[in-house]
Amino acid sequence: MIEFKDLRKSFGDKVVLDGVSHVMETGKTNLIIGTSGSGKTVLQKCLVGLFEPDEGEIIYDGVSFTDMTEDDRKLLRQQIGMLFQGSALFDSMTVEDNIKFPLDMFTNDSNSQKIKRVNEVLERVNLKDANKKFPAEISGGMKNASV
Amino acid sequence: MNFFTHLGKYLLMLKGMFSKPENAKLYWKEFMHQCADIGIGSLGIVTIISLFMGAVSTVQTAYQLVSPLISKSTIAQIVRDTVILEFAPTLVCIVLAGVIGSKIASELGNMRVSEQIDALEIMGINTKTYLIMPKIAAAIVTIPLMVILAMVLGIFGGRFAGSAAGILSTDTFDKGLMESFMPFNVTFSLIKAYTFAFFISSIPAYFGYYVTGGSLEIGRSSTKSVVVTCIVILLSDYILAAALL
Repeated sequence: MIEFKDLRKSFGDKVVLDGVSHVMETGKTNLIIGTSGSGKTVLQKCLVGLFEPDEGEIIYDGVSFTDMTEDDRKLLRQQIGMLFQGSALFDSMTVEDNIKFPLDMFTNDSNSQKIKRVNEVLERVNLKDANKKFPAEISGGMKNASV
Repeated sequence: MNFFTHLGKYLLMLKGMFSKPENAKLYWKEFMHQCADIGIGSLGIVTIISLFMGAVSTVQTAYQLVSPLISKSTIAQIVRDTVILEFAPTLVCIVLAGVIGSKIASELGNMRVSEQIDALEIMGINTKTYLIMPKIAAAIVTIPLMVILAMVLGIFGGRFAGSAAGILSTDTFDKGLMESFMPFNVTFSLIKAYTFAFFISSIPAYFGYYVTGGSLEIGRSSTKSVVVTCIVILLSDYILAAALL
């Protein structure tokens, strides 16, 4: 369960979040809908710690995210998936290397195991021929699928 | 933002770099990649600048030393000391601030704007350690090596220009090179090279890492980082010379 209470965030004089509160219950799908520039991305970035809220509290399963140390936040973030607006793929790496990157960083699997895993996920999103393509060579939808 | 806010943020960025790497092998790979990018990528420009600065130094020194009472070998001494003390470390590093600095700032700026840095943070990777540390370490390893190369090529360029222009023979030049040589000059030059290497990599990294906005801001930030780096290099050049010579 993710709960946020009275979140406030400003950039200079512009107030983006002004006392936002909500409880996202486990097993339920939550949608955040709003007009352009209303603060949907800022709210999401506050929830994962990419932005620090000026005021308010964020609680994950009863544990305050606001009070967590950076190491604890890193551990929590490893359980969070986030799809960025611009897909955030690394331009200099192929689709295969992009998907393999977290496996390279956090696992001790052999290269063949990692490739096998990459191929499995690419096949799942109908991108099995995109392994060696760079992000610039695939469409926006394909980029989002590969993320 | 005022000067002290920037300085504080810069120091905090440097402090944030020192954390345990998530995967030492991948960090090593990134370090080697940066060494190739910064070192080998700048070899061409360093070679050209060094050869010409040595050659021009010889010709201009000879032009100014018109007295028959001064031996021709003095030209080689002046060229040697100028190249070792100033031209190789400072001039080369100012050029490298433009070449490497703009590359680092725009690379990190682009990663920030396209949310690649945010994506790495979400994965639980310390982006300061993974993205900035290898760049600074690679610069500290490769730039002093390039400065040593610049010293050698600068003196060689001067020697070649001296004989080609009929100013002094290579034997006289070599004799002048050996006269009253102070090894400390090389040490001093390397101290400068290490200091400048740190600034050349860390200041543009700061400007790139904290860029906000879009492609226009990346360009502005890249230019600003080069200007600030050049000023810091010149200032530290003066401080080091005043303190150590």
